[in-house]
Amino acid sequence: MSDESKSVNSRDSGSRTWRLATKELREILRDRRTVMTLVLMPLLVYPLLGVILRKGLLNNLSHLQTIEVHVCLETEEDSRRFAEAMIRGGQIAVMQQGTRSGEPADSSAVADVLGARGQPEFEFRVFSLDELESGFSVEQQVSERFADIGVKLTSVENVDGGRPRRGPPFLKWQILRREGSALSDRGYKEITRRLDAINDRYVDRLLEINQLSRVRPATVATQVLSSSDQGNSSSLITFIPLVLVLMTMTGAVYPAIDLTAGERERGTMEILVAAPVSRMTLLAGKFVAVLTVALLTATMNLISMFATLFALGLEGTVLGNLGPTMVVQVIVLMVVFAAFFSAVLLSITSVARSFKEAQAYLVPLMLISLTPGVFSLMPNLQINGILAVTPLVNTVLMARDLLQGNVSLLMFAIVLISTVLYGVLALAVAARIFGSDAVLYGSGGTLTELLRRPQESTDVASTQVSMSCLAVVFSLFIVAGSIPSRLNVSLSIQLLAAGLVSLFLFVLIPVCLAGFARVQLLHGFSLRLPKWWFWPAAVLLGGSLWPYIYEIEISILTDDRIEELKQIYERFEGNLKAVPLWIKLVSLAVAPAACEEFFFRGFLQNSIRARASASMSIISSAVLFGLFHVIVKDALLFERLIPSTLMGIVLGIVLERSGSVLPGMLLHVMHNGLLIIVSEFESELTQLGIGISERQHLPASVLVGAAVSIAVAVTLLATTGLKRPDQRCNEDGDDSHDDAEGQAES
Amino acid sequence: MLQDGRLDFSDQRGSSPLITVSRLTKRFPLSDGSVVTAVEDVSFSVNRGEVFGLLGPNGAGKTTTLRMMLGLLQPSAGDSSIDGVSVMDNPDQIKRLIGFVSTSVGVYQWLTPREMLSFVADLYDVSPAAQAERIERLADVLDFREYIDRRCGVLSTGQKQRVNLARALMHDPPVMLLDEPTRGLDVVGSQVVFEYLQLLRSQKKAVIICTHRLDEAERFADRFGLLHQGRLQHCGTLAELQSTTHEHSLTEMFVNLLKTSKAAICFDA
Repeated sequence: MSDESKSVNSRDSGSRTWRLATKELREILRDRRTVMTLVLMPLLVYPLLGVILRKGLLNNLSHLQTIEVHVCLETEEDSRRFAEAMIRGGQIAVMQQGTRSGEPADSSAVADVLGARGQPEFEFRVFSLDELESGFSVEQQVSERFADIGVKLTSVENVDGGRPRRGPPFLKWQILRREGSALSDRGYKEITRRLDAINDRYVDRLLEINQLSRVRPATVATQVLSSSDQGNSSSLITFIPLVLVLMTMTGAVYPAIDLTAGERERGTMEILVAAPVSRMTLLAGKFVAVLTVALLTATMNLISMFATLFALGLEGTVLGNLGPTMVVQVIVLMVVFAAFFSAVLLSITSVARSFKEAQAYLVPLMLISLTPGVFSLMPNLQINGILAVTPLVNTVLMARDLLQGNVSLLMFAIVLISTVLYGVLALAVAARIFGSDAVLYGSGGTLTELLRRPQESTDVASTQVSMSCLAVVFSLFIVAGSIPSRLNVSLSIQLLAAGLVSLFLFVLIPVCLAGFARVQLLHGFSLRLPKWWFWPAAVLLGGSLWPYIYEIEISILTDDRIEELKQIYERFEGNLKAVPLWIKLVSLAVAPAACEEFFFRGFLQNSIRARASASMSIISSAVLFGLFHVIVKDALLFERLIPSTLMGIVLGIVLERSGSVLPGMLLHVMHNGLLIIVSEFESELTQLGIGISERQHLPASVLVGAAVSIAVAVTLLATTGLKRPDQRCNEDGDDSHDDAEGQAES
Repeated sequence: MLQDGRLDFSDQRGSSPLITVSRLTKRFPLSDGSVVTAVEDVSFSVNRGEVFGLLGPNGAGKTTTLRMMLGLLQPSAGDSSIDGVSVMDNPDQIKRLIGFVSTSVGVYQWLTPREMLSFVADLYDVSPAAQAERIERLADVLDFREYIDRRCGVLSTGQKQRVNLARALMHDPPVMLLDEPTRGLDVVGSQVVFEYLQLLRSQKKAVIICTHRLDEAERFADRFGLLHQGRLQHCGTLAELQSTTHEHSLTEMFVNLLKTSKAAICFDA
């Protein structure tokens, strides 16, 4: 099959997947049970939850209970005045209530409905700064959560017609409350209510004796202070990811069962397996449908949740300040999570032969899924490398951090990428299981045989194997990548350890997995001797690409970013100088370059190539290669994406043309090695006008020289026209080849 | 009509067969390590416009044979081919050439027959124009126009069966495999299947019908294969079978077969 017809086929299968998905969706959405979970559940659950939440929050579980409010004042004298005013105000308020025959204290209709009538008992725990001698101001006491309310009292001159007044002095009450604290809010309301009562009584008195005053005994000024501790201020927010995760699951479970085990139960499975459609296409259609329903459910839940929060006026308490960027990030995360979970569900329900069986499998899954939900409730649990690649836990923690507004972009990227990879892995497993004769007719005996090693060896790893491998390598890359820098040894040893990690990640793991899947190692990793002319081509490219990659890199970088990078590098810059050159070359050039080529080109691109066109395989493996380079220990270096991807494209073309991973390895090693040598002799080179850290452009002579060398290499690659033995047609390869070179040169 | 069909069939016997099944074998490994042979060394062929009855009691290996022919089960040995296309080499191609009907095949409850048929046509890459035209034609031929836009979930068994028979013809395959198409149906339902077979015969399709109802089989099929314990015991037209077995009806042949096979089991053991 030519590349052209292949791409037509892939377009066809795309539209076919969509048509299959619309059929599945039509079927699901006509089922009332789905609509119930989709629409009615959120519509009912949240208002109910909200009401309970509000009741719990505001009434402190029961209105019979006393609400204890801690109030901080400046002096003991103030404390005494406060206490007197509260007692008096309280008495007056009770009397007023008696006369006005019970206007509900909490005017909210919801409180009425739930029978939360009547005034809860308030107990003001008063303390003054004098007693504490902590050196904190009233403001700090409130924002640090020692007090719920702060009150500052100042005497106000009584301008009551110039006549001196008997009785206590008039005071200005400055009330400090903490943002987002229900208790503070409640206390504030109670204090002002009592003060209002005193004021009203005073006005009433004046009116009685026909003397009206502009000034009242207490003038209230309120100040809202934000809490110093973000994490705890909105502890309620940590519930949201958990609720969302649960609801997304609830939405996806029924369609996932219906579209897999349900097909068997209805007897429609044979229609599907008897048709000339690949299981992956069938499953892709089902996946799109399940994902759509999961997203619809999540959306409905979000809408209902926010509507409830706004209706009950709790949005400030629960959400704090939510920016639009955060909302977008949360949505992206939820989409990725929904996709991941839909894939996992499909892979599990594909095993089942009936609804009942599927439900039996899903119960443990749901229970397991609840555990990470609990993680999100632990405020001190920080997301780290291992947690960021742990399925489910990573999403929940990330959602929590996003909502709290303290998120590291690196972790966000790791969570997204790893979740996507796990999703792909789950789909690959599902495709293997769904409709297989072992599940359909039990021909394979037990299910464990589905995961057994294939009996026959294959030349090239299937995309399922390579994608599974990618998922494993990525997770370990995040976890193991940070190990060397944590070792308490010299930088040289750390660097060598990093080289060993590369070897482990990009060679050992793929070889093990490929061996398990009975992939022939020599073919599967493109380990064959190329024609001789690919060697000089690789040497030429390896020696002449770096000036262009360098030029691209400095044209991307902004001044701010350079400052940031300097800070990142400065930490080990000094030490790096002390490391012998050979160690740097081995650990930063030879080991990573050779190992990465082994995995990204020899294995991954080779595997994709067996299923897709040359350009598709080159570009996809190059982008993955680029993404891996963005993540560097504790930072995201986005400026590396484009140069690394371009480099990946060039290396991909070399593999495509030569059919061997070896020239690419040589090219890559040379390229990395030259960059290291350039930085090693930076001071010497600066004198020659090549200043890397000053971000100077390279001299024209270097660029021209490199261009000539690239041109020779391109001619060698293009004109020798040797096609890989296992490929049919590489017209596409040629096109992308020229494009990539054009980009690299421009 | 029936007579015409038979005459038609005998005329075709000289041409090369459309379906060739050769030495098909399927063994299932059991969890205790032993192996069950469901189908053993089965060979036969079917011509265009011929209805071949694959007969046998429950568990004889009929369905397993059909599933292997359809590429749903990997044969342990042997091969089956249609028009020269082997199921071992080209399972996807084979699926395009076969229409499959079985009583165990269900319908999508929440779709209408029209939606379901066009979904199936999508699976077989039938163009939208051809889909519409075929649905109209089949609705007339199989007489389900009345409920073509009703939800499948509310249809009766007989009505679902008509939709299923239409479904198998949506991609206009040259070969039809029917597995117990009359199971659970009343006399009217059986008659529908009979007429369906006549239709297939008139369209020159090669048909294999599996059934354990021998009286029906005698009426439906032109040629027979008697399957028992995974082996094809006899194969031929009714006349040929009568002469080899010296029995008059298929039922008598089977009773005889069951008796002798008991001895065979003892022999195997």
